Amino acid sequence: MTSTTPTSTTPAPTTPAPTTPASPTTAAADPLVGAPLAAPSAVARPERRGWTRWPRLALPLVPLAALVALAVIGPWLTPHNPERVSGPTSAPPSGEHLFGTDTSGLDVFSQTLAAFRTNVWIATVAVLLATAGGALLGLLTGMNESARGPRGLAARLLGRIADFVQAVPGMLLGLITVAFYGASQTTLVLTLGVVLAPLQARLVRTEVLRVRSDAYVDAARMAGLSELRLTLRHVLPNSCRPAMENLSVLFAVSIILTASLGFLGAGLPTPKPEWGAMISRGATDAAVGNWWPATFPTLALIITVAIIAAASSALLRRRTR
Amino acid sequence: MDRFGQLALDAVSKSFGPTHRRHLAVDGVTLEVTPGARIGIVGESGSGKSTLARMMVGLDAPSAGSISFNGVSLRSLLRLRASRLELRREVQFVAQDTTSSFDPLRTLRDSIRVPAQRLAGLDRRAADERVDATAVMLGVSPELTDRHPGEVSGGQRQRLAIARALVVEPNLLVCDEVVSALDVSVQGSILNLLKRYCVDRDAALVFVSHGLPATAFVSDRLLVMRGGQVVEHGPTSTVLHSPTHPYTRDLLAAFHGPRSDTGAGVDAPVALPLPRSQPAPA
Amino acid sequence: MRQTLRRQRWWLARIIALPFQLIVFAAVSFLLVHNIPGDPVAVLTGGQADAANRAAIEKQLGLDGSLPTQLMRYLGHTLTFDLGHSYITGRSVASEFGDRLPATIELTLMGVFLSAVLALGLSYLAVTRPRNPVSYLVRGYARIAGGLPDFAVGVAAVFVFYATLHWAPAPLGRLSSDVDDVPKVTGLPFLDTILTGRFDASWSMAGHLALPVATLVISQAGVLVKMLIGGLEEAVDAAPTRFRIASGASPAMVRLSLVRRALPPAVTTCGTLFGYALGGAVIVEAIFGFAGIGSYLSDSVSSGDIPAMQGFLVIVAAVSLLVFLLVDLANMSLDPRRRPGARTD
Ligand SMILES: Nc1ncnc2c1ncn2[C@@H]1O[C@H](COP(=O)(O)OP(=O)(O)O)[C@@H](O)[C@H]1O
Ligand SMILES: [Mg+2]
Repeated sequence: MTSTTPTSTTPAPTTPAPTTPASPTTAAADPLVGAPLAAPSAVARPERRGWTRWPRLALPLVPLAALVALAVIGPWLTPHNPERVSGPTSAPPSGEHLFGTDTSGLDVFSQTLAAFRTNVWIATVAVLLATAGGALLGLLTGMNESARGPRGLAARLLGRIADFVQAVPGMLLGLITVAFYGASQTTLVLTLGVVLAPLQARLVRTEVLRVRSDAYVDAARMAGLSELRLTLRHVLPNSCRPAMENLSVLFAVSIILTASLGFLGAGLPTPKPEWGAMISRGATDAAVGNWWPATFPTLALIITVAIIAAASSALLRRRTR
Repeated sequence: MDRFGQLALDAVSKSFGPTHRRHLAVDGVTLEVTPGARIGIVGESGSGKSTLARMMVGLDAPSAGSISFNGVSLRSLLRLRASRLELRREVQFVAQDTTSSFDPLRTLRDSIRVPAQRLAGLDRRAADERVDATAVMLGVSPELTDRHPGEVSGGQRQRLAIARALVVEPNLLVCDEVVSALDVSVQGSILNLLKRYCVDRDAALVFVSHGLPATAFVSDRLLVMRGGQVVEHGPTSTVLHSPTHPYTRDLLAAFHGPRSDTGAGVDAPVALPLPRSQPAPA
Repeated sequence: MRQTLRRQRWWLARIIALPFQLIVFAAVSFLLVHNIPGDPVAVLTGGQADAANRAAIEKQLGLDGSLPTQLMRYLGHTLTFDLGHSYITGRSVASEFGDRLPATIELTLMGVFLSAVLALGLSYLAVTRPRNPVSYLVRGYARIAGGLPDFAVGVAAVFVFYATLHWAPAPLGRLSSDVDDVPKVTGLPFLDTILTGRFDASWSMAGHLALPVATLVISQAGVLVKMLIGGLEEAVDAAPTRFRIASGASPAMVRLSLVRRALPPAVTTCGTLFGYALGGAVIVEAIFGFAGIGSYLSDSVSSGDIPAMQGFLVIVAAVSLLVFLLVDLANMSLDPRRRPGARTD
């Protein structure tokens, strides 16, 4: 699992990577766009005017902003109470029920909208947790694993444990943990964090192994910095890039994982709006030809994942230039 | 802790690799460095010079043998924060690698200021002034230090790496291949500068290089290493004129023979490779 | 003899390590489960147990004695493949798994195998014929890799091909109701229909398997395609390939070396994919009403059957570790630089 973005497009001034067809959202940030205006030299690039640059770079972030807004205020926009029966059962989409109702008469539109907060919130916190934990784990193992004595031993042991966690498919581990500790947002977030942290730890560790032998780390030692200080100041910032690029993938994985658990009935308790549980309930509808209860939450999920992927690749492009 | 008085290596060895395939990189080196001494270490690539230099400054721990600073073992000095900082103030190191010598995410000034503040105890303004002065001393314009390491040339970066070591005005400077990556004219000016710094302050220098002429120019004692061992050790002129080990003779022959007047005036122009080829004494 | 041993060390060491890894894993999962809030005895008896009763039940569940004693006893049992007895049915957990695991593994392997074949074909096409319209589609598909949830694909498949088009059979198991059950030989359901010569059942089962396997393939293959496209493009540019082309090697040779260079990361991905597919299989089983570990897991999760869940953790870990071992061995034989102790610099 690596980054989704075609990040290998390090901005080469003369040949702006024609082989990577940019997706519509990222096209605005493509170096090709401004090229004819600028003098054909590399020096001219940074002087591109601020007012032509900003909207282009901000454009891919508009959907992201909308997503965040939905996650925050979504539950207040619902026309019906998402957790109460609000109409006939299995009614097709209409003016009253935009996305129809499901088998128990819950309004699908309100549920889908309200679930933005649940799913996006869980995924976001889980990803942040996994990244923070993974970075810590990667730093600890990477910096210490080849040391002699108890420090190295502990680091190698930690690395092994992370491997073990990775050996079990995340969804099954999540299923069992949720079963053991009860389904709540906290359990879900912690479980996803534990499942995903080893992925980030591995990425960070690989970088740490490269960075720790760079001369500037020794130079920082010679400058009197303590190991902790120099790790935070030099090793961490220089090792976290692949993990940052992986954030959007991780986000997609945790959105899907949360929904998968909900789908299998190990998610949050029933009336709580959650896409996976909605799709699971909608599956029985789909089998008898009622398409709407499963389709709308699925679309919401896929669009959310796509928005995050597009926004992160746009942000990463900006950072590489 | 007092000012640098003596750095003593006693039968120091370093091995790498897993137990069943140990590999001795440094094999029983004994050496003493005192104030004002300028010691050159030469040897082919892979002979253990870098490993030895790193152990001298406490970046690596020896597998066997001991290293002491003013009679106290490096290991115990490094353990406590206060004595570690004292040690760093007295002993500085410039590493071999020029491409990764500075953190690519920080400006050069950011990196050079750290030792000035932490070790020399200067406040931020004074540290900045010290950085400027040291950069000028090494022939780099102070404005360049506000750039990132990728935005200056390799030679400039190397000079600034030396500047970073010199801002704390150490009394022992260990340099690992500092001029090997530079072109000849720059090499000359840096060698002169290092030598002048040591003579002016009565500071000690350990100069590691695979290039014999440069090493001979700055040093008054010379160590020849091969396969981790010191095969020849003595005053530079003695080693150059009457080498005892066949390997040293080969090494000298590779540089068109020895030179008689090493360690001339501090400002002597460096001509590289050494002039006047003269048949090696048999 | 010693020489031979030393030379074979790279794979021997890995195989010998496997049981130890499993023991460690069993211990970790035991401790994890031990920390669950709640009281299994209370769950079992509905809070009605008196002290004597409780002691008897605890003894029966292996919950008596200190934590280390319990742990050692559990590990000892695990070593003899005794995973305890279900709280609910009283049957041995190991035999429950013996009944169900093969079916799930078969489904998973079908998914992974077809994903690998499809991915290899598609990515080869995308790299060698970049102007082909199909190649654009393949690249687009690779870009959304990982964003297609398997349950959504499965539900959509049921809606389109069963509820709307009526092409596929009802999602209610592996066999249509008018086909007799097939006796067990290996436990792998599809293989058994062939081994017992029940080709009517093979035919029926193939029809029932088409959508579930397609679901697995569609939702899993994208990651592999992306990986392979990247690997192949890198391999096309690599110096050894250029050398082969420049020195006039036959196209077949060049192609072979290309694939060989791009393969190790893809093999690794296949191993990871197996893990995802195993999770996906559980979901697919739920959607299509297949018998397998999925339904067993759901049942034991909802009834709080701790030995079953613990056994599940250990067995899934064993299967996954085995797969990772095979992946590592495959990679190490494809590329000797990956063997432990090899110096790469
Ligand atoms: N970190 C290390 N791990 C393993 N081997 C090393 C390491 N550092 C150095 N070596 C080995 O030690 C020997 C001496 O290396 P080095 O001190 O760098 O030599 P020199 O600086 O004279 O070229 C070499 O054979 C090298 O491969
Ligand atoms: Mg060296």
